[in-house]
Amino acid sequence: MVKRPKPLSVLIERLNKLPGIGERSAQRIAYHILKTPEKDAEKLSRAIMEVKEKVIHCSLCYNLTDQDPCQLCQDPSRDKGTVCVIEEPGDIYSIEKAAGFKGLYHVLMGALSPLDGIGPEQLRIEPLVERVKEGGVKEVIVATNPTLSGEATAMYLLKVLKPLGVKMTRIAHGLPVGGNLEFADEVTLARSFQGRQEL
Amino acid sequence: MALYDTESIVVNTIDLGEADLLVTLFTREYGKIKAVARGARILKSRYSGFFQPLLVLNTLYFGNERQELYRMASIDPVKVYDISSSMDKMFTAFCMMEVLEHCCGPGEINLPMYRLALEGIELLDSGDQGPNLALCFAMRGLSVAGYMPHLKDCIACGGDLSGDKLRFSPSRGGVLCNRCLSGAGEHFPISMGCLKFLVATLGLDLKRSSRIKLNQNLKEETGNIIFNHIAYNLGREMKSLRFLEL
Repeated sequence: MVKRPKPLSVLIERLNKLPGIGERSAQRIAYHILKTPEKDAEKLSRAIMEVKEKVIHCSLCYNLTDQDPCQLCQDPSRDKGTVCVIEEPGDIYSIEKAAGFKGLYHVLMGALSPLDGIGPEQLRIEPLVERVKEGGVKEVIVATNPTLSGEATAMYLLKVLKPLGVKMTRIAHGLPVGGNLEFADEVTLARSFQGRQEL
Repeated sequence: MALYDTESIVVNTIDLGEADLLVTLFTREYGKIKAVARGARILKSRYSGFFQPLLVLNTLYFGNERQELYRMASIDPVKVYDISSSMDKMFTAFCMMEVLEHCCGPGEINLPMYRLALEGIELLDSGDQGPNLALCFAMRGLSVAGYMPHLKDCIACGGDLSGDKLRFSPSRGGVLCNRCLSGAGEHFPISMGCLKFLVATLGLDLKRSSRIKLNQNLKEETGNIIFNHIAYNLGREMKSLRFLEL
């Protein structure tokens, strides 16, 4: 049986280890890299190395950044009295795209997950408590995912932060904009009734 | 390719790929199964709200007989439960999920366990769960699954358990009296209060679990006994038990 050249096999093996990339996709990407000009391949490898060398977590909010504190924490136009708590750094970009929020963020780096043994000590909850204790934070918006883990995290945050006298709010649950009641699932619809607002 | 139509309880979900979910279901008629729900994490998916832990669903899934992974075809909730309104409810729910995950083997039909799970979920939903529901459910679950520890008398000699230096031995699967400790492997002290509570849970209706009062020490002791019994006999850790103290 004819074997692939060793460097190509190694590249396919490495690509195959990436999330969401199976062996076929790994082969396709590897052959594509082979076909591209050397400069492009070099740029790709340099980008991978740079991301490992230069991207760090912001010491204040734990967002991914190449400068500490991150751009958002340094921005004087943002409201420092409002902190939005999220599970992963990627959630910041989703919220920023919506363009409605002008406060600061705090990334927990996950959510409480008893089945996986992930407790408060594995998350960035203690730095958040310290941040609130330092003063200046008037409102904490908990924007964890609307899953059981996300809700458990929100409840835990309420328990540890509420005694510090800060206003705690949770993002709303319910129907997507442009959706139709007729096609809404029962669980979401029930939640939207629980979270109804006075007009 | 067979089509399976049965009532199920969502035991666990794991993110799979970009937008899919790997769902563990405890079905009434086919035991515990795993199925892939394509696109279930997309906000506009018809599944998106349904795969919440301990939700009871009418499920339709397909796959070859005895295969390990099925595909979801359609789901419809039997009743919408609310278990996310308090931290106690949620951490009790996590314990119940873990008991179902650990005590039920893949494809093992266990109707008493299914009924027990339904009873527990109804209690959680009603808000009458009491602080000891997780421990009571774990003990009842062990009993229904065939892993009930021997608590009536000394597991080695059959002697009376009235002494004050009783030990619990996970490897022997029960309580030992002071005279039978040699060669019993790892064992832990068990107080008379904890032993009485464990015995009481086995014959107790879950609805009455709130009537038993446990102080924090007894609660921790009982949690440790259950943790070690499951760890030894099922080779799995009940990670959620420590969260009951949060």
